[in-house]
Amino acid sequence: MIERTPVLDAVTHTILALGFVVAVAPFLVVGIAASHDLFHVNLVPMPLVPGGHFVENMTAAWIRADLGVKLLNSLIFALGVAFGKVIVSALTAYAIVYFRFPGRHLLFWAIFVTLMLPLEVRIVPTYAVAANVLGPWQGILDILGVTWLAEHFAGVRLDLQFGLLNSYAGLILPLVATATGTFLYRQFFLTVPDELAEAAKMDGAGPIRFFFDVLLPLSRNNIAALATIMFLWAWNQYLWPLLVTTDPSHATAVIELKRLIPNEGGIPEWNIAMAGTLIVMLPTLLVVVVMQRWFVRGLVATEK
Amino acid sequence: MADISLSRVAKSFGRTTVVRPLDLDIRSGEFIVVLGPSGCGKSTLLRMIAGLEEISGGSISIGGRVVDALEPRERGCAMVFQNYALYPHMTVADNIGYALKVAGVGRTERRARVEAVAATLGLEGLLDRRPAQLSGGQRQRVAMGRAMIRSPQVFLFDEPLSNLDAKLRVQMRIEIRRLHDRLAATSIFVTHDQVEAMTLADRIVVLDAGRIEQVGTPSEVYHRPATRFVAGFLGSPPMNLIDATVGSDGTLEFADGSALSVPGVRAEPGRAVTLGIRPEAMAVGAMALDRPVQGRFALEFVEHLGPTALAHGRFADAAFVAQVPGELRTGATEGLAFGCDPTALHLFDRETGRRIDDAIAAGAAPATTSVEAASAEHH
Ligand SMILES: Nc1ncnc2c1ncn2[C@@H]1O[C@H](COP(=O)(O)OP(=O)(O)O)[C@@H](O)[C@H]1O
Ligand SMILES: [Mg+2]
Repeated sequence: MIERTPVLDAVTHTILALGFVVAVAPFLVVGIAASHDLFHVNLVPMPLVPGGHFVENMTAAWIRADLGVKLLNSLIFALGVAFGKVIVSALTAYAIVYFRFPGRHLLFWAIFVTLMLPLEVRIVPTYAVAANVLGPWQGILDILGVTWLAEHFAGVRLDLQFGLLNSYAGLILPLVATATGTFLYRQFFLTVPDELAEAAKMDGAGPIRFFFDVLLPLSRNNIAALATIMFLWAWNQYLWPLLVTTDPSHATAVIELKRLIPNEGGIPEWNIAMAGTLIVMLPTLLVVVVMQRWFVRGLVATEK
Repeated sequence: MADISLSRVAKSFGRTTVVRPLDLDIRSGEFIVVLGPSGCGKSTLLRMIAGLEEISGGSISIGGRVVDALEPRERGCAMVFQNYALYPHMTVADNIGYALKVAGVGRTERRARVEAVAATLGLEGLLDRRPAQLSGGQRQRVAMGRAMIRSPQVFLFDEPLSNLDAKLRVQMRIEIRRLHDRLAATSIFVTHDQVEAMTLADRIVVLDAGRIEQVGTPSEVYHRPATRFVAGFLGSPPMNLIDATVGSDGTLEFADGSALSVPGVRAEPGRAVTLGIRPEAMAVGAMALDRPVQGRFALEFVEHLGPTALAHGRFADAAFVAQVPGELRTGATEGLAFGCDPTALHLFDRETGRRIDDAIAAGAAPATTSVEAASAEHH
C-alpha cells in the first residue's frame, strides 16, 4: 500500500528514531564505560566522551575472566542446545503430525503442558536428575523392593550412579526438550499438503526419506528461526550453567562475567566489567546479523 | 501391463460408508474413467487401489497378485494428483527423477531417463526450474513425467485436468490419451467431467454415493443408461426426466393429466416409471410431424449456442429442454411440437431407478396411430 501522508510519515519517523535511541543508548554507555580508566569510570556522572583505554580494558577482561575458554564453552553449549532443540522438536512434531499411534493426543497435550513448566520451576528435580541420571530408576527399584531383595539375598548393594554435573552433556541435555519448537514445527507441518507425503509414498520413499528429502528442506526457514532464537536463549542462560558447572573449566562466558563485577572493598572496576560484557555480547550480535533474513522468513507466514 | 480386479471392495471412515462393496474387473491396457459427482467416493476408490488408503473390506488384485497388504511402492502404480503435489524445493528434473533416486538408480542413468521422459512431454528446457516457476500446464506435465519415469503398470489419475483452463484441458486430454496408447499401461482416470469421460474412456464406471451405477463404453453409457442417475448425469444439457405411468393403450400418462402416445411400449400398464428423452434426440416444429412419437411443450425461452439452440420450456408440468436449430426464435406461444423415435425414449422404474429393458419395441407401430393420439391430446 502506497500512501502520501507527510505528517504521518514525520510522526512515524520520530517515533522510530526515539525507539532507536532508547534501544541503543545502554549499549553506548557500556561502550563508553569500557573505554575509560578506573578513575574516570567512577566519576559521578560518568563522562560521556569516550576515553582512551578501550583496548587495554578489553585485554584485561579477556585475561581476567579467561574468556577464550569460556567463550568456547558458551559456543558449544549454545550450539548444542540450539541444534538439539531443532532436532528434537522437528522429530517430535513429525511424529505427532504424520503418524497415527495410540496416545498421540495425550502426548501432544503432555508437551503442551510443559509450556507451563519452564526450567526455573522445575530446577530442583532437574538438578537431581542431572546429578544422577539413574536416580529415578534407583527410586523405582527402591519402591519395588528390588534393592532390599538384592541386599538381603545376594548381598549386593544396588546404587546406580551416573552424574552429568560439570559436563557438556549435563549443560545441554536437560535444556534440549522444547514445547515451543515442537509447536512451531507442528504448525509448519500442518501447512504442508498431505498430497506431498502421498506423492513421496508413491515414489517409494519411506518415512525417514520423506523427512530428510522433503520435510527438512521445506522447513529450512523454520530451522534457521528456531536455531537463532534458541542459540540466543542458551547463550544468555545463567541459572542452569551456574548450578551444573561447579568446576570453572566448564563454566560459560555469561557466568564468568560475574567474576569481573567488582567485589566489595576495592574500587569497582566497571570499565573492565563493561569491556567483558561487550566481548560476551559480540557473538550474539553476529548471529542476529547473519541470521536475521532467514529468521524473519521462518516466523512470517510460509512463503509460497 | 496389468489387469486390475476389485472384489467386494468397500471403504468406510468410522461409521460413514464412502464406498459400498463393489466389483470391477479392468482389463490390461484399458483406459477406465471413473465418473461421478463430487463426494461420491471416486478419489477414495483410486487411493485404495494405490494403497494410500486401507480397504475396509474386499480385496484388490493387480496383475493377478493380491495387493491388499502391499505398500504403495510395491503395487506398481503411479499417480497424478489433482493439485500435482510436486516437491516445491526440487527442480523439475529432481521431481521427475525422485522415484529413481529413492530406488537407488545412479546419477547418470537417472539423468538420461529423466531427459527421455522430459522429451516426450516437451519439458526439455525446463529441467532446472522449480515448480513455482512453471505454468499450470507445465506443472501438469511434470506430474505426468513423475508418474511415467518408473514405467508403471498402472496409471492412476485423480482429476488431473480440473485445475487447468478450458483450452489446456482439451489439449492435455488428448495428450493423456496419446500417452496411454503409447505406454500401453492400464489407466484409471477419475473425473466429474463427463466430456473427459466420454472422450478418454474405453469404459466408463459411473459412481454415485459409493455405488457403481453402470460400467460400459461411452456409447453404452450414453445410449443405454442403466439407471435414472446415469441418464441424468451424462449429457449436456441433461436428459429430460419426467415421471409417468404406463397407460393401457400404448400411452404414457403424466401427473397433470396429459399423455404421450408411444407406439410399442411394452411395460405393463399402471407401472410407475420415469420417462427420459435426450434434448438432442428430438426434432421440433415441422420436422417433428413425421416422427412416431409426438408431443407439444410450452416454450419459455430459447438459448442460442451458435450452431444450435436450446428451447427451454415445460412439458407435463416439468422442466423440458429440446435442442433445436440455431435459427429458431422465441415467440411460438401456442407451444412447440416435438417428435422422436420410440427408441430414443428411455423408461426407468420409478422405485428402483433402474432401466426397464425392452420397454419399447424397436420396430415401431405405424406413425399414423401416434399422429391421431397426439392430435387427440390437444383437443
Ligand atoms: N479421511 C476421511 N475421513 C472421513 N471422511 C472422508 C475421508 N476422506 C474422504 N471422506 C469422505 O468420503 C466421501 C468421498 O470422498 P472422495 O472420495 O474424496 O470423493 P470424490 O473424490 O468423489 O469427490 C466424502 O464425503 C468425504 O467427505
Ligand atoms: Mg476427489
